[in-house]
Amino acid sequence: MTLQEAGEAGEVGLQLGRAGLVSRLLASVADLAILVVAGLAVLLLSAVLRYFVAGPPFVLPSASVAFESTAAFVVATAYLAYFWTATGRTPGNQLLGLRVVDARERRLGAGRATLRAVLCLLLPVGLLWAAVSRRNASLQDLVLRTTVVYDWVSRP
Amino acid sequence: MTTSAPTDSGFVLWARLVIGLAGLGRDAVAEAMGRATAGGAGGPNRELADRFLRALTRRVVTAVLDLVDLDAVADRIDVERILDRVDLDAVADRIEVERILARVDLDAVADRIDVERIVDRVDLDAIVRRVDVEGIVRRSTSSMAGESVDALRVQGMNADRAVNGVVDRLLRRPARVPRLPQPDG
Repeated sequence: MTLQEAGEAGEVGLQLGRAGLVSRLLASVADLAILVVAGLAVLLLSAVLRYFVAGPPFVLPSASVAFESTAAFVVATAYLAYFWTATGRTPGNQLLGLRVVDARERRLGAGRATLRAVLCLLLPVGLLWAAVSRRNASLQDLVLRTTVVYDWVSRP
Repeated sequence: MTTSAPTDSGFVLWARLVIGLAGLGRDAVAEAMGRATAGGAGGPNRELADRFLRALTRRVVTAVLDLVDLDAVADRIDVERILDRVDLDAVADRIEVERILARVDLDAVADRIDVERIVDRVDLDAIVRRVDVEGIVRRSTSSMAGESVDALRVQGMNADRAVNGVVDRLLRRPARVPRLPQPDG
């Protein structure tokens, strides 16, 4: 069932529609928080492992800024692209009841999802355009012809 | 009762006859013995005759009772019919329950109930095991979480609309109307 059919069937009603800036911003913050917590957990775990294997002192592993930035970028891109491709919604989207679809309301393909993830990470302020655009489209949405809709009922 | 009445009354009649005859016989024997010995009515012969006839009467009555099957007589009594004729409702109406209750000291009865002992006999653990506490907690927790998420989504949607409205007014253009995405094709 497409979102349109679900709306016509009365299952979602007003829940369908293009999501605005605040919901999308909150979803992005939630995703960011998840990524940060997961990253810290990985760091701590690796520190603990290192402590048990190599012995004291207990220190967090560190690498060059370039490496860390690249690693964080790759992980975040994979995270966003995976969820947009697999379910159409990241955990942050899920929390706010949002879904990312293409112009024909379908889930994004892997290429478009990866590209959208890269664009979102490189130019986060592009999201602000959603407040100005009459279609609530961010700059990334305009480039890739994607839409973020309210979707509370559908389950991944 | 109707069918057994003649027999019963016949039996009674017969018993009376035997006893009466025994009494008559006693008098007659006593008189004859009194005359024969010329001892007078209150004499030793009269007393002897009395004892003789008393013993005779006892024997006769015992023999008669042995002959009568009292169980058979009892069997022939229609208890149901007797009960039918008794108006138990009327009897119940005459019982003053309030008065009976007023005479019962319920406090004293309650004092005699050993609650501790009853509680000791109740297996509270088994009762707790039968109550799905985990399930109740899980359901209420998930329901609360669901309500919180719904509230967050509603507030997010309202905030979206407010931001849209502010921007549309700033840009002096008609307000955005939420609409469904375009259908397939």
